[in-house]
Amino acid sequence: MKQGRQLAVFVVLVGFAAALGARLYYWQVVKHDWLNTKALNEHVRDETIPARRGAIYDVSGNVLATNEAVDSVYVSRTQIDKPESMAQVLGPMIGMSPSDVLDRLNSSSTDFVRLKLWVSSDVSQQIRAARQPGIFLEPTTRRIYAQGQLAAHLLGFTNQDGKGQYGIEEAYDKLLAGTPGHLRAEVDTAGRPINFTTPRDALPAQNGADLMTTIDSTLQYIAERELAAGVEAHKATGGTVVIMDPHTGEILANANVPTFDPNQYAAAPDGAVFPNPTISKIYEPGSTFKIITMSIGLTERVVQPDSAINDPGSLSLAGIHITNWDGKGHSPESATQVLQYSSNVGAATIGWRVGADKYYPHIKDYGFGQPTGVDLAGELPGQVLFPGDNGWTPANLVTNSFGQGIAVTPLQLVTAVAAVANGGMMVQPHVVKQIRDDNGTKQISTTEVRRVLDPQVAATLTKMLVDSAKIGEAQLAVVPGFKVAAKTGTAQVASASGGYADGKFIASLLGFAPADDPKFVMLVKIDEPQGVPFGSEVAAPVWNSIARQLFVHYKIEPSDPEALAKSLKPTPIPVPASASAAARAQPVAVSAKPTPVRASAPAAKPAAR
Amino acid sequence: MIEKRWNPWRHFDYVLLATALLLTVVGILMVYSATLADSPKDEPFFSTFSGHQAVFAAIGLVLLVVATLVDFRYVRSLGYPIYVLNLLLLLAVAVIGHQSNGAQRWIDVGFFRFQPSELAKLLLIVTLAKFFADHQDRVQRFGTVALSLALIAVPIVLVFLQPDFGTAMVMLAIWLGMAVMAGVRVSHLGLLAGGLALCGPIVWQFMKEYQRNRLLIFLNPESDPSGEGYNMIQSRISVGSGGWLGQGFGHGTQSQLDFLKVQHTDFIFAVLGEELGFLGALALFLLFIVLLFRMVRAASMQKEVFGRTFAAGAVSMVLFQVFVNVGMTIGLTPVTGIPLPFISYGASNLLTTLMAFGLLQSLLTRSQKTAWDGYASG
Repeated sequence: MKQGRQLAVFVVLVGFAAALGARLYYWQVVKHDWLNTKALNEHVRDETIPARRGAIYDVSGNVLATNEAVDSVYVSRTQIDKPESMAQVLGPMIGMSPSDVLDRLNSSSTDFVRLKLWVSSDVSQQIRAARQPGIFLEPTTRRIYAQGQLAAHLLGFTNQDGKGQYGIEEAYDKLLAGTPGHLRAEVDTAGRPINFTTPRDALPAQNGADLMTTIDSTLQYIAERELAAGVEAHKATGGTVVIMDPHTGEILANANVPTFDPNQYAAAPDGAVFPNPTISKIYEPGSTFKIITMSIGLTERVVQPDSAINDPGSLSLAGIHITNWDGKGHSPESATQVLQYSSNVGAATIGWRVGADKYYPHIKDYGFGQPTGVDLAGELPGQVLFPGDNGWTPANLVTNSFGQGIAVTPLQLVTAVAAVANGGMMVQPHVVKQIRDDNGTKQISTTEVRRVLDPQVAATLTKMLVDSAKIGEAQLAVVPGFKVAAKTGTAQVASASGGYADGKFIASLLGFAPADDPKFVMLVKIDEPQGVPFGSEVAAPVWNSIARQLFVHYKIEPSDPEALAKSLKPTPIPVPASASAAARAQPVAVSAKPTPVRASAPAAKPAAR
Repeated sequence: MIEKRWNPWRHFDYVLLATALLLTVVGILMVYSATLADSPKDEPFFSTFSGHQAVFAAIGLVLLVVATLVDFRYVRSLGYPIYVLNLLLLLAVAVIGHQSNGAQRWIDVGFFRFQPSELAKLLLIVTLAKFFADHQDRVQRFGTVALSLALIAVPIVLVFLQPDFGTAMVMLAIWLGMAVMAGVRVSHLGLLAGGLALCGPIVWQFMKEYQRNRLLIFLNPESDPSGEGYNMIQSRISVGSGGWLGQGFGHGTQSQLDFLKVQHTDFIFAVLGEELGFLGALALFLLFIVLLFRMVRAASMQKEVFGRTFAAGAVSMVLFQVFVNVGMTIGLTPVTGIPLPFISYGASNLLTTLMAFGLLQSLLTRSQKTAWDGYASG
């Protein structure tokens, strides 16, 4: 009996010890990793050190985009005793009515309420001086576009989360953003970092890379001014100018109308203005595309510059009837004259002679129907129907030959013609020249995509373009004294219902100069001009006035100085004076000195909603 | 072999004393570590928690020596007056007690707060031992068992109403251990256990809201992670992050950074588990196991019922408290305010425990059993 009870005591003792030991082993050894992670999550706080977003410079080192230190205003609802008096004091400082402030406080479900994003440093000082409890200023940075609207479509902007949107900002977002650093600190239950016996470890932030672009601010300014003037003069809906170095693929300038101020992107009436039409909008190129058809005809040897082509003014081919833009025939005309008169019949004849199976591989080589790979966000591939595609008929070859039934982006067309200008090599267009970060500088070299033309053919075509431009449709583009290779385009606008919209045209001029050693390829495109629709009368003068200033800017010697000198005296430059003056009146800084944009209305009005 | 002379130190259990002292020292160290973050660096040692605990230990040591020197027969003769004193102290708590955390358990006696329910456990052991000694020939009767239960019912109810559910449970455990040692019939105990199970719903009715919640949350601590379940989760995290070897003395992040609450009293084992790890916890268990086996040995050496039941009561008290305290830290038992003997911060608990071990030594040194056995066999 007594022995039994002693055994019972022993069993109870061992049983209890075993239960505790087993349970302890389970938590401390088996579940250790899991619980240890939970512990770390509780008492180790990972604080992010923001990385500085890289700046964007133009080709001469002028700042296009940089950052400004600003504060955002927060209010802790639980730390405010008298919301009414706080609202009375704070409201006027941040441009809100006291009742709006109270509304914002009352409508929030969280303790911390952001009242205002990005206030200037003098407002921050006022708020600090007011010494109101429960108001917090969070230091942050805000993106500043030092030149205001200049190159807005190329740059894009950053949204209120600091994320790049459109243009370079989006395409290079990762590089520009850098990598945030981390500061690990042990914290107590109140979240206060404490310096306990374990050391803090820190990982410094990796600042974003600075980008040197190919953009020439002077040229960009000129292009924007002249384009705006041209659009206004012809009451057009918009337009685009692209200027590219044909040897390197560097985009020197790219103007678009309508445009926006990236500093106040939220003030833009419509988000449709943000995508860059140069890469994000497709159109039927019309007659400018005859350059491409002619190059194919020459390559495939179905035509020579002086080949005689029958042009009665209209032609029935592959079941469709085509006419020249003016309905006039020029039989017999030379191949050069096809360009000079911008003859649809002539271009269609050449395309037909080449034949679909030889024509379209060249179209593909020129990169139509696929993105150029430019380092900008939002590029479209264009639309080309190739033989074998659903909907393609031999009639497509006929219309494609003079730039209809095919949709391209302005940049695709410029890139293709750059190959003609540089002797036959397709180069990849780009806007960033140099990437500089803490590890050094990375140079972006020219990427040659493929050879599309023999140098001989390119030279022949260039000469044809120079010759035809002198006396033909493109003559208003020609700057006297310089050899200009150019081609006009007057394309109809495809309507949503299929076919073409009545009375809607796109006038364009595509060319390069100086023809012997081209410094630039330029496309001027004016959308839906009122009155005369023709590229020769709408786009050519704009091309001319930009080219003129470009020659001066690049100090390009005229090949015929006398012709230039003669032209300067009697003939005024055909630029609409009023529009030009209006454009010049805009205060745009071309120098490195940043334009103070903060003086204007608050940037983040909708963002603060 | 005939006993020549009675040597009072011949049966003194040095292992028992050494183990008890070692545990006391571990307690002071753990209180030091658990309150490290709360103590300003320039604070004099004796005004810190661990300093207090050291002072309590010194006083406790004096009490242990005094209790060793006191003849247990004298204590036994005071069995019933002690019972009355016990009830008076518990009643005093109800009248002039100090309230804290919604419970009224303390009497302010100047330099520390005296918690009579801690002392009540020891006093109850003395009274019960006296009762079973007086009724040893009738212990097989159910009436005796019922009477003994009635005897403890009064202090248990008083403690329960403070409310101190944990100590009430400890008292019940003490009674069970002593009743078993006194030779109560197993069938009677089974009958009582059945009756107790029927009482469960009634006890539930009398429980405070927080006590019920603790029981419910014990079953599922994640149901209330920020409230009652918070410390259960935190103590599990603390213990679990200790691993095999622990994070080092004074380096337990959960305890030091205040994530763990009441870390120097009820949840001190979580601090030990986090800082000294599984092996440290096993070492502590080893100390307790040595202690308990020496106590069981002491019980088995007693010839008289008083000594045997007293030792059994002390074993029950220590074992139950260790099991429930450690158990609640690792989610094995519900959270009750039961301190870990020797280790948890607190004067009443430490003094009572050390005094109990003094009385055990008094029993051992004056036990004549081995002498008689020796005489008989010789």
